[in-house]
Parts: sequence; C-alpha cells; structure tokens
Amino acid sequence: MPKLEVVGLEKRYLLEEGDELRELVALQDVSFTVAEREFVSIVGPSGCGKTTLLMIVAGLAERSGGEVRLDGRPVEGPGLDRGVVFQEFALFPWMTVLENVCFGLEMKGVPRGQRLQVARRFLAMVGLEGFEGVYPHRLSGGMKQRVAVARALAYDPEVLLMDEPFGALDAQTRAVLQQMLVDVWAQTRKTVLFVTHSIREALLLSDRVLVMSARPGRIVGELPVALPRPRDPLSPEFAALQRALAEMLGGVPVGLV
Amino acid sequence: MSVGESRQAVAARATAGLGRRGGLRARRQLVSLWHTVRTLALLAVAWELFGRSGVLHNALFPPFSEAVGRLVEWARQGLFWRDLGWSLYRLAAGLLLGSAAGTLLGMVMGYSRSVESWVVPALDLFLSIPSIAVYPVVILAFGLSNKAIIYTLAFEVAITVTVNTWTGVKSVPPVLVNAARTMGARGRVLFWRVMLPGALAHIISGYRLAFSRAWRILVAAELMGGVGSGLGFRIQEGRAFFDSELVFAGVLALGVLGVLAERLLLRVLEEATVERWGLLRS
Repeated sequence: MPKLEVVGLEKRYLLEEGDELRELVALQDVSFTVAEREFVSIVGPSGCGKTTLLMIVAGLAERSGGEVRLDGRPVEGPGLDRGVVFQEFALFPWMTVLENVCFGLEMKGVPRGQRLQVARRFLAMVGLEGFEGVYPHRLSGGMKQRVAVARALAYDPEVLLMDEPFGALDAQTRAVLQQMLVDVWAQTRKTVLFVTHSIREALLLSDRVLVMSARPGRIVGELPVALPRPRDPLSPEFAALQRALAEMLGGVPVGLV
Repeated sequence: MSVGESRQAVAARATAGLGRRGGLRARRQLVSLWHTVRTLALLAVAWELFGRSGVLHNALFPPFSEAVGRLVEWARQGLFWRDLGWSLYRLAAGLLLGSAAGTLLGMVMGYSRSVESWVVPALDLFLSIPSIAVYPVVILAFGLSNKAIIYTLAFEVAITVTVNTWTGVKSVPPVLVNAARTMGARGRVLFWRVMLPGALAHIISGYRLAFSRAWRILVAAELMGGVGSGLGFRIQEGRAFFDSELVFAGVLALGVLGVLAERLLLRVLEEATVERWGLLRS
C-alpha cells in the first residue's frame, strides 16, 4: 500500500470578470502515489498549481473534488501526521529557536523533558546547536529554514511536505541547504513530497520527479531518478536527466534552472 | 554565514553576543533617557525665559520656576497627592475596564467573521462620537460622579483598543496561522499561542493611543467640574481664583505624569515583548 495517495484531485476557482463569473481550473484530475520512505518532487512552471496541490495535501486548502489518503485513510484538514515546511519559513517570531521546534511536540502532548531532548537532537541534525535561545529575527534566511525543517521533523510526522522551501534563498545558501536535506533524509528516511520549480533541485534530491503543466494543472509526466546519492550535477548521467526533464516541461533550455 | 566557516564558531559568536546584551540594554536606556531629558530641559528654559521677558504679565504667564514653586507648595499642603490619587484612580479604572473589554472584543472580531460583520457598523458609529460628547450622556445616567468619568474613559479606551486589536489580529501573517494549524493548534491554543502574540505590536500601540486619549478626556471631564477633586478640577479652580501659578503648575504636572507613564509602563512592556522578537524596530 502506498504511503500517500492523491486520487483524481480537482481544484476550481470562480473568477470575477466584470459582471461575469468565470471558472478557473487550477488542478484537473491529479493522481499519484508516494511510497513509504520515498522522496518525490513535483516540478512545474509558476502558477501551475503545485503549491495549491501541496496545500490541499497539507489540509490547509479546500479541494473541489477527489481525495487525499494517508496510509489508506482519507485526509481532512491539517494534522500532526503531515509536517509542512513553507517557503516563507513561518517561524513564530515570539518564540526562541528551541521553543519553535518544541511547539509541534507540545501540541502532540509529549512531556516537557522529552520535548527538549528531541528538539535539541533535531536542531543538532540541521546544524544549529548553540542557537537554541536565539529569536528567529536574528537568524539568516538559511538558518531560519533549518529551524523550520527541524520543527517539521521533530514531531515525527508520517510525511514531510515541502513547498519550495529553498526558493527564497540565495544560490549558495540554497546549495548548502539542499546538501543538508540530503543528509537529514538519509538519517530519518522520511516520506517526502517536495514542490519546486527547479529541475536541478528536483534531480538532486528525489527518487522520482512528477512533472506538472499549467492551466489546468495536470501531471503530464514522471521521471524516476536512479542515480546514487550524493549526486554530481556535472556528471553526464545527471545532465541527460536534466535534458529529459526540461523536454517534458516543454523545452525549457537545459541547464538554466 | 559563509559555507566554509565552522558552525561552532558562528554559534559561539551568537552566544557571546547574548552575554553582552544586558550591559548594552542598560546603555541604550541611558541614552534614550538623556534624549528625553535634554528636550524637556530645553523646553523648561524657553518657558522660563519667555515668562521673564515681560511679553505677558507674570500673573498671566508665570515663568517655569514659579510654576514649579507653586507645584511644590501644592504638594506640601498634601492636596496635590489627593488630587493626583483621584485622577489616577479614575484613569486606572477606566483603562482597566476599557482595555479588558476592547482587547477581548477586538480579538473575537479578528477571529470570527460573523462577529466582525455585526460589530463593525457599530464601531464605525461609536468611533465618530467624541467621548467628551458621551460624558454628558453618561452623567444623565450616573450623575456628576466618579462613575460617570470612569465609564466615559472606559468607552473611549474600549473603542480605541478594539480597533487596534482587531487590526492586529487581522494582520497576523496567514502563513504563521497555517504553520500552527499543521502542528495541530486549534481554538484556544491557536488564540493564546499565535493570534495574541502575533497581534501584540498592534495591541500595545492601541494601549498607548488609548492611554493618551483617556488622559485628555479625564482632564477635560474634571475641568467640567462637579467632582470636587482631581488635577483637572484643581486647574479649573486655579483659573476661577485667578491663581495662574496653580493653573500652570497643574498643566506641568499633567505633562510630566504623561511622560513618566509612557517611559515606565508602555516602553517597558514593548521592550520586553515585540522589540525583543524583532517585530518592532528598536
């Protein structure tokens, strides 16, 4: 049985155009599965609905049709079984780094002593030991996203949902955090659904890449990535996959993203 | 953070910075105190010079030193402390009632769309009524009494605090609310742990605004007479007996008390919360 199943997902908006209401189809018949411990990326151009898709899986957005199942059970609303990392980091500014990571554990009902121990372990895993008592506004973007990853992993969700988590970072920090995620994933072997517009990022991280088209948002292709990790983006095998994925996306010049 | 730099080094630097912060904060407070003192001193000197210049007769515009002298005398008689006590009592009661009600209503309005849609038209109506015009209405119900002043203040404070709190809750970034919801926060937990701290910068600025408005209305209401005590009442009495030093001493006392309240209460609250969290530029 797949860990996460998305079946026939639909999302329609009503758009006001003057006096007329026009229906906009954001997602059309989106179906895919993610296996236990699998790392799957969804790649697509901006506006293709990939973030909407992830937000529906997270239970934060309404769907117009279809179903999301986790371990065979249909998903309604947000819950601790799905950890979410947002592009905007979404750390609570009024909590220290440690308190931020403890929040989910507290909601889960983990006793205080154990909470601190688990939070410290995950902060160390993302390379942030020594920053426990710092407030988020003193951290750089890359460090904030490290905290957010630790926070989403700490309460041990069934799947980790990541919405362009490194999209707001500069290229160098982005590369460092991609490597961190590869390391963290190797240690935790979480089931991950990862949304990005970067072909390179998807190929660096994933076991499998799903390709989405825009308007309406549909899954138009799938590409398994069998390369061993850590992956070398300059290798011929990687380049070949990059070209294949770019062609599936509709001829984006290879190597640009 | 550069890629090559060891994380321990960065962590050590951040913690070292934390250790020094106590001293830095004391220094910053001294500097900001100095900024307050130098401006006020300049105003006092200007007042003194103008008072002695003879442009206006001393009986109409006494210099700073004479107003201070009258203030000291007023205090020595013990009357000043009684007046101050009554004024502060009315202010505190009005602020407490009004801010409790306003914070609660503002939070609920920010939280529930249906409450919001019911309350906003009423709020718009009340906002356009100056509280000093509400005072006579309240007097009809409670007579010329402490109660009338307190309820008028509470009305003004509640309206101001409601608007600010409501704005604060509405401007909590949706992504923070969503993040909390994905971690299972709902209902009361979401309210206390996310909405309230997220709205706090606006809420505190609402308190600040409400405080200064309440202070004005308090004095205006006391000036209108009938309660027989309070700083505003005494200023009015000074005018009636042509005791211009007392009038100026009263006005001076009002100003100094306002500055003290701002520095001792509101700033401290701000520094301990929103400024520490980086939600407000320090």
